[in-house]
Amino acid sequence: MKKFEVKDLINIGIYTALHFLCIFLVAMLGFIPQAFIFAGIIEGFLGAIPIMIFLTKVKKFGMITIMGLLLGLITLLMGRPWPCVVIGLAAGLITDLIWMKADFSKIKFGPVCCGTMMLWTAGMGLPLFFGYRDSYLANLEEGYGKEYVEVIRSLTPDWMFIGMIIIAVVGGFLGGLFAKRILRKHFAKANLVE
Amino acid sequence: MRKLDPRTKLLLLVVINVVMMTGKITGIFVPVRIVFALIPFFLMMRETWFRGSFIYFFLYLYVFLFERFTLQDIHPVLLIILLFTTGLLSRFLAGVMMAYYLMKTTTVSEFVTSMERMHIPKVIVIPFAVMFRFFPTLKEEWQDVKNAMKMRGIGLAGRNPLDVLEYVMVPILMSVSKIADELSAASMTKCLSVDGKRTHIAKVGFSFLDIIMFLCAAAGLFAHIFLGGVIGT
Repeated sequence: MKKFEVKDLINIGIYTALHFLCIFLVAMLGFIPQAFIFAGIIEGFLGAIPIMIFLTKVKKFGMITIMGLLLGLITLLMGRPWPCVVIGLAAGLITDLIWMKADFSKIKFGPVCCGTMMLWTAGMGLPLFFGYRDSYLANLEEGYGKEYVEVIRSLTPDWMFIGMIIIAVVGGFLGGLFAKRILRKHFAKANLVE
Repeated sequence: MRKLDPRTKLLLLVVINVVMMTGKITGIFVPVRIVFALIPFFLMMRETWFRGSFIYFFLYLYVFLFERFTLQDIHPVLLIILLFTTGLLSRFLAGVMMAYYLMKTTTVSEFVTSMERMHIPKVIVIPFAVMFRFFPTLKEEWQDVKNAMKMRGIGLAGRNPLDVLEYVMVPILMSVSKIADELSAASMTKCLSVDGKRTHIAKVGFSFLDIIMFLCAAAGLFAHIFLGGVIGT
């Protein structure tokens, strides 16, 4: 494994910030239960653009993994249960392996990478599912009344967790396609990427 | 005035978010929530940001009272609209304020020093520090892009959303990749790329206030985990 230079680390930090901001702004929308399906798509779409530019700067194995770890850590800072760090790390690692297979340069793998990178957002939705679910909803019910909880409960059966991940990944993939077009149209011309 | 240690601020941020976002909002957690909502207010007052802290205080008071007294068993559609304003704010506001305080009052050198004291590897500390300092820069860039668009008479309303995305994202990404180059040039002067132990002139360390804040955070976490506030029990 080649050693990281400071430039690489700075690139990781900057693009993680941009990516996270894109996602966070949209994720606020997800608080309206009916909107959160669309939120997944838009999140992926917006978030993919910084990822795509970031990919063109990655020339070493491990950079995307660190990005995933950072995203997991931010999710933890936002008060989600701890497995979100592992999810973030895994998302980064998967993306890293795919991008390595693409020799860190074949741009046609880009959209796939954008898609898999979005897996980390699964950590954001964690409180609504699995063992966390019942007590989370029961506690919402105490505060907000039965009707609201019923709406959420009906919208989020356990398989919805998988559905949510798929939605985000598809969003990421579509965003990746769009970002690829932007990359070709603007950045290749200005020689900012190879 | 002694500054709060960055590690304390990070811990507080985590605990505030845990308690506010995933905790209960009834019973014994009412006072817990009040205490944790007051911590960012107190810290901001300490920095003499009176205007910001009072806006935060009254906004939170309004949201808190609203959540307490009007959100019980009303019509779901109305409830969802109200939730978007009050529920969202009561969950996010304290954490956002704490994050804002953390970013405003922590310099990069303090952050890096305290992280190195905890023996966290460089590959995590540097991206994290860059990220924290980068959010305000992004806001500035966004302002600049908006101004430039206004100057050329390009409005965002009533356009194809994909075009809007392109018009906004491309200039931001262009300047972001330039900023990355400039930052790495600047980091050369700070010897970040040199191996071996670095020395620091930033003073970090725990003071009396840190200990109080630690106790607060520990008490909050204790209440959260053992008195039934935590999810999954």
